[in-house]
Amino acid sequence: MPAFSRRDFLKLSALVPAGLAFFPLVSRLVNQRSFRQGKSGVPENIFIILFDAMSARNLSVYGYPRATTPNFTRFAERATVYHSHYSAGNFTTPGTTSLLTGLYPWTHRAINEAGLVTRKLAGDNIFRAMGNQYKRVAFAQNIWANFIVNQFNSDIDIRLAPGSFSLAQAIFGQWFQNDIGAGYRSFDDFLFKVDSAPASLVFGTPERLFYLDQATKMESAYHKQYPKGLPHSVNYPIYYRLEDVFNGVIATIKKLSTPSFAYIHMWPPHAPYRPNRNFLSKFNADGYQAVAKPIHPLSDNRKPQSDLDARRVVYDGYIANIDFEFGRLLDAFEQAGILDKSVIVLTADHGEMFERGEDGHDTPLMYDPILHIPLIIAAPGQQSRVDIFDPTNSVDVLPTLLHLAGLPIPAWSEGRLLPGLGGETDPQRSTFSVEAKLNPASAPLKMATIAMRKGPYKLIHYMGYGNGFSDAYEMYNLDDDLEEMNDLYQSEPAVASPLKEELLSNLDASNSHFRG
Amino acid sequence: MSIRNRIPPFKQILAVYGIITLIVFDWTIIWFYWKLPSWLFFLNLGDIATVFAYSMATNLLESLLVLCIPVALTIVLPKRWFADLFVSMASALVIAGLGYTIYVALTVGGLQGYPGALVHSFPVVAILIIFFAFLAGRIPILRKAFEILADRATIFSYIFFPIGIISLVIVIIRNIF
Repeated sequence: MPAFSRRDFLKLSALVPAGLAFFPLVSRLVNQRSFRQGKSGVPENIFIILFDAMSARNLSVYGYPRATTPNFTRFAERATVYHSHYSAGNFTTPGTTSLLTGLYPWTHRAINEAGLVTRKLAGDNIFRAMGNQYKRVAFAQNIWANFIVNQFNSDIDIRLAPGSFSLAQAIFGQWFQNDIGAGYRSFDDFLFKVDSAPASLVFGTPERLFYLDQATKMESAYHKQYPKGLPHSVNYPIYYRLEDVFNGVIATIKKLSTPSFAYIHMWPPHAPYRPNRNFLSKFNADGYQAVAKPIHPLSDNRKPQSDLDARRVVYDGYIANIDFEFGRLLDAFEQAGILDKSVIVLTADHGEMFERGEDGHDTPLMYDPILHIPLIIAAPGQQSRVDIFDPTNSVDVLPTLLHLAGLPIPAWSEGRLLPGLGGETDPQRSTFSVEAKLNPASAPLKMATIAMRKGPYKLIHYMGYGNGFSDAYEMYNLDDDLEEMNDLYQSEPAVASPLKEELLSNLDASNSHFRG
Repeated sequence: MSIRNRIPPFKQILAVYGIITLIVFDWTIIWFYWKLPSWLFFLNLGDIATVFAYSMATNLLESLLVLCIPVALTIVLPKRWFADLFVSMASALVIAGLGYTIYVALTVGGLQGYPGALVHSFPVVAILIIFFAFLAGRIPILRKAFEILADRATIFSYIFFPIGIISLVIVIIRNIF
């Protein structure tokens, strides 16, 4: 062995400053490697926490002027933040299904309100793809999301009842564990359906009175805490306090054995917006003024801007309330060491809009507030923030989580690996969002709105509507025009034409499976 | 007199049950047809038939529960008060009672809060319904009208009861296997 001379020592010493200079970079690379692979190669747990109707445009973590989400920002400091993440649909059914199947709505066909995945594709879901090495858990407070989860029931190990953690509830489908899809459909979406007269006259009517009595008592008991009323679902008879639901989710996840995969679909901040008293007036008269936009010809509500601004204030307060509870969840996960061994996904099924006369998301419109949703993914032990600005879509979540779990990505998935978590950057990639609730699920799409995002451009195609929208297009450059005020479709045909061609080609390919 | 002897003849029970099934099953079927167009967008015929089976099985249990009320009254009330006029009085009772239930169902359909005034009026409405049933037994033209109606409604017992039984069997089988 050669002797280590004084000269060798001095040569090596010269490398020390250079090593120190490169330490942050090296550390970051090592850190990224560790969160991609985990200590044992794969993350021990994967938890998706989804908030219904949460628009990224109203979250301060994405640059919204109101400080709605300080805890999301805290979470983002140790996560990968996707800045141009789009839902594949503009309401619960298509948005949730695309997340859970990695398929676009024109493929999975859960496009109608309370709709279902095409039967032959029901096996193509994230629960089955995760395999039984994971304890697979699902909880959905939204009946439409629950219908989708019901289709995957044989691939789920633990189903939390939709009324779990509620103060008042009257849900019956869960009694029929061997026929759960039919149970929920028959009782909770028909015989005892909450937003119409009960189709069951003799059982349904007293049951409704009993439920309303319970709900009214709870509203009264918690009126001081929730002056605007208790949070509740509008398609499931459940009344709850945000803190109870978050406490329930925390306790459930803490109790899960490792490895586990959980899909937690929370109803808030979906309307009715019910922040507690600490957040109800948080943004009243704060001077923020959203950009006023003209009423769209396809707007059903046609609400004046002042009404929309007032609704936005309450919605923002509700988001701040949710963020506060999420902060508690984050603390609890941190204390329990869950963050160190789990992938945590924070996302939404679709957004919410307060512009162009529309309030909510029951609309054929596909502007960014309704499609642009949060996606923040913390990998095990991740310590630094990574920001990704490439357009991504909810169909990308399934392949990415499977990749992180060290599992093969199924050929049927239409999504890609997310950049920063195994995927490559591709700013020119096209992603799609489909709104076709008035179209039969088993027929070619004839009445629909399709939005395509590619690079900085977003092309929106309306088809089959009246009011001059039987075959109409809009195009926006989101780099220059984030508020989508300047329609470039007519003025930039050189850009619009290839985008239109690509959109129609994809539409035609999807429709070809459903023609006679 | 034994309880068995106090129970009205089967034919009379069937007539009153016909009226009950006519209201209870038809109420659900009307809502079913109201939902059907949207279901046809995304449910297959098997799914729709399953919802129908659950609905009819529920209706069967509902109708039998409602039938228990007039039958129980024949047992607890003096024979000449109720049992002797069973068809007319029981028919009037179930028509008025279920009619009021329909009114309540339609009222609470879109409510978010508890309808306190409606509930507090229940005793008064119950007295009015009982009075109406009393009149139906005592006023000859009313009595005759309800007897004719019940007689013609008997056919619905033969239609809906078997449908309910078959549906119940389907529901049980689906939940066992």
